[in-house]
Amino acid sequence: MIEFSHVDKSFGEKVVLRDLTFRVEKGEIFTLIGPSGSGKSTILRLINLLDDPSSGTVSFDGQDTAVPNREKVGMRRRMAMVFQKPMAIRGNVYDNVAIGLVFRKEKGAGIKNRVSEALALVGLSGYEERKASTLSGGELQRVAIARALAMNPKIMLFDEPTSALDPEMIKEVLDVMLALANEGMTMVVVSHEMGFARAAASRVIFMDEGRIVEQGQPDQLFDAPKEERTKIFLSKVLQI
Amino acid sequence: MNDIVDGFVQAFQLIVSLDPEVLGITARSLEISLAATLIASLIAIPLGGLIHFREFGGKSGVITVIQTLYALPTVLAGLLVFLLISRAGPLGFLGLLFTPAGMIIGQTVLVIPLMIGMTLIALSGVKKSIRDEVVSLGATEGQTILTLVKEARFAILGGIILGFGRAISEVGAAMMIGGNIRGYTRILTTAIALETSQGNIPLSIALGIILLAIAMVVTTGLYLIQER
Ligand SMILES: Nc1ncnc2c1ncn2[C@@H]1O[C@H](COP(=O)(O)OP(=O)(O)O)[C@@H](O)[C@H]1O
Ligand SMILES: [Mg+2]
Repeated sequence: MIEFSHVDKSFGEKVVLRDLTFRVEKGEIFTLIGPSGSGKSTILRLINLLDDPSSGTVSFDGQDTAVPNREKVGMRRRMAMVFQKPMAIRGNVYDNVAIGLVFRKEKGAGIKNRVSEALALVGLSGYEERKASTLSGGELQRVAIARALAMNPKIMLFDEPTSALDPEMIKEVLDVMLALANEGMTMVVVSHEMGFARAAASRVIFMDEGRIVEQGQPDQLFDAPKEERTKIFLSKVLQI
Repeated sequence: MNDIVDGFVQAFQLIVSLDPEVLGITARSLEISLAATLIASLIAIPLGGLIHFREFGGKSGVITVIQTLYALPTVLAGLLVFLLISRAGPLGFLGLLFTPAGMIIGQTVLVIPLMIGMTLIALSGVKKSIRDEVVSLGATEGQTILTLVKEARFAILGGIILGFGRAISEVGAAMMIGGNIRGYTRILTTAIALETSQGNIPLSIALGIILLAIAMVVTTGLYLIQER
């Protein structure tokens, strides 16, 4: 579904991704781990067409993403990204969840149903009228996930979706993500939640300095990492 | 000294008695400047949005030119529009010279740069992460601009009010394009200029007080918006 072929990405002098090549197949739960600054968010941004590769190609559904902006919108509408720090637009929770559907010019009644379904999935049934500015960080993140779910995407991208949540919320969110995974949703997840990765990930990729250092099945990578850098990183993450 | 005191007394009488000439001039001033502000908003806000979002060669140069034009001398805006709509000009056939419509065009040209600039400032106040997420949600370029303009609506409204303030208080363009025709194109500023030169001080003071009152309403509106 996603294919990176010799992708480099730099911002000015700074090289962020180096010669990345990988594929994400339909139905995969593709999990990225790695230290801060290793380029994980940049990969998600390239998949979501928010940035262009400096060289190499990124394809989605067999189609090169180096297309005019108009066509990029069409491609983005088949994906959804959950950001680390989600936005809250002015207005209530309904407005915040419905926004992607409004962009797609869906009909009002359909939007209403999808919004309430999506809110139910994240445990926020009946929150439609709440002002977004009054939500806690955890509630806002759940609203962001509902916003993504409402769009019925073919692939979902998660950028450390639980890193800002209270412990009890983390489980709730991970349960939603697990349920999605079990239904066959294709997902690219940046997360250091080992429990989630072990339960759901089809592959775990360890990144460092813009390169894939090591990848494998979750149990294999977590329990028997081959590379020294992977071992050091895992020992740090597991301590927390 | 007595003359001035006298002038103020008569001016208040003109205002309190709702003198038809004073009312007419005030209404025309408001109409022309509100129309110009509205038209300028419809042009400047989307244009500001496009300039903000699009990457193109010479972008910073364009922004510098726009900022320079904040202080576009009113007589130059007047001259530009005069050349366009005078009988020999490219739009001469429309017969807009010495009409309120012509004056609206003049004030529109005058305030567009300021309003584009204020829109740019307002939009750059919206966090980059919000823009990214809006784009990620599948917004077209137009939908992105509209959403972010809504997010920045108070700052943009401030720019609109500033534009109106500049339009209602300018005299050069209105004089050159409107011609200060009594009962037709005479507005507060051009009337004050004329009446003062003709020694009709009470009328000038009355019009001046009204202009000041409008300016105060505008400033208060701006203050209230910034307080939000
Ligand atoms: N727009 C940008 N301009 C300049 N540098 C950037 C930009 N976006 C990301 N970077 C840099 O790229 C590197 C990788 O960032 P990121 O992909 O966010 O890493 P991660 O998500 O793994 O923490 C970081 O060093 C970051 O500072
Ligand atoms: Mg990141």
